[in-house]
Amino acid sequence: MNKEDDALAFKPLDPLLNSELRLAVMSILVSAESADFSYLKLRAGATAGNLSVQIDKLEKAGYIAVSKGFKGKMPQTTCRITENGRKAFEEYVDALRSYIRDDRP
Amino acid sequence: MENNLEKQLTPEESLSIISASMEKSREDMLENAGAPMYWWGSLMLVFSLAVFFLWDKTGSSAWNCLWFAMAIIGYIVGKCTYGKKRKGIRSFISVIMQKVWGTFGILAVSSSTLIVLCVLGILRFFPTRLLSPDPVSVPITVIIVVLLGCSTTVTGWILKNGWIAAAGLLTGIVGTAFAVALPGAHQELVLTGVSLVGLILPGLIIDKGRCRHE
Repeated sequence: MNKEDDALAFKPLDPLLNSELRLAVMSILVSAESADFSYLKLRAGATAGNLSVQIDKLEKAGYIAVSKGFKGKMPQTTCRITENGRKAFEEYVDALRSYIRDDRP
Repeated sequence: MENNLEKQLTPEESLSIISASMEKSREDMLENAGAPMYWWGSLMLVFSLAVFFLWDKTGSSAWNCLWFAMAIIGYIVGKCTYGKKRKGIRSFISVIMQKVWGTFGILAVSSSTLIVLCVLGILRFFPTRLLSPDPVSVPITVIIVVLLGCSTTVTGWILKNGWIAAAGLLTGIVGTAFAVALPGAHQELVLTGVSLVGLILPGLIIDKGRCRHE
């Protein structure tokens, strides 16, 4: 495979990010310093249970960091993207570009 | 979204999710961004006029103690109003701005308190000849104006908004000149102008910018 073929080849999409809910969560976190669990639930349009599962997967992969605390008397879970997560997201977007480029007439 | 958790996305679907999520979160992060500046600017405007009239009528500079009441009212009411309206997302810019204005608040309140305590003779860190018993001769107004001008200018630079940065510089330079030149109660009117140019106007510019994005 020469250099030109390499450039045109499809880059593999990170399976962890290639899911609707996890991708939505990562897209929100990539442009923010942090976001609450309740905010992510609202914006991603997910149930608390499902979101918890997906956040857990992202956390185990080292893509996000989750911290638990209190806001007044209410428990609060805050998520933020890690350096690994940011890198994975950038690579995912790069890979997407290779697919889009190939679709051009 | 619930039923499609593990569905493999097409590149088009992925891009659509990314752009929609980022756009919505960006809008949420900008919502109410100008509110703290309006709130503190309006409070400062009202209190400066109140202190001016009371000081001018009674001749007593003790009315300046109302500023401490403003700081307490502003903090508590601000937390209960725009603080509660905050969405559960924080941007990098909002965190930096909070730190800049938090530093301004701490320095403004602590320097004013120290000066008042020294003038009242409660603190005796400094030889009394350095501080006149008349608070007017102690440049509290100048300190506040410089700090405020600096914070507004930095806010403008962080937001990459030349108008806000210019308003901050104008506040610091022109405000200081007037604060030094004007005597007694009239210094309060400097704070009225400073609240308009250094806080309310930048708050308006921030919200106008958000509306344009929408």
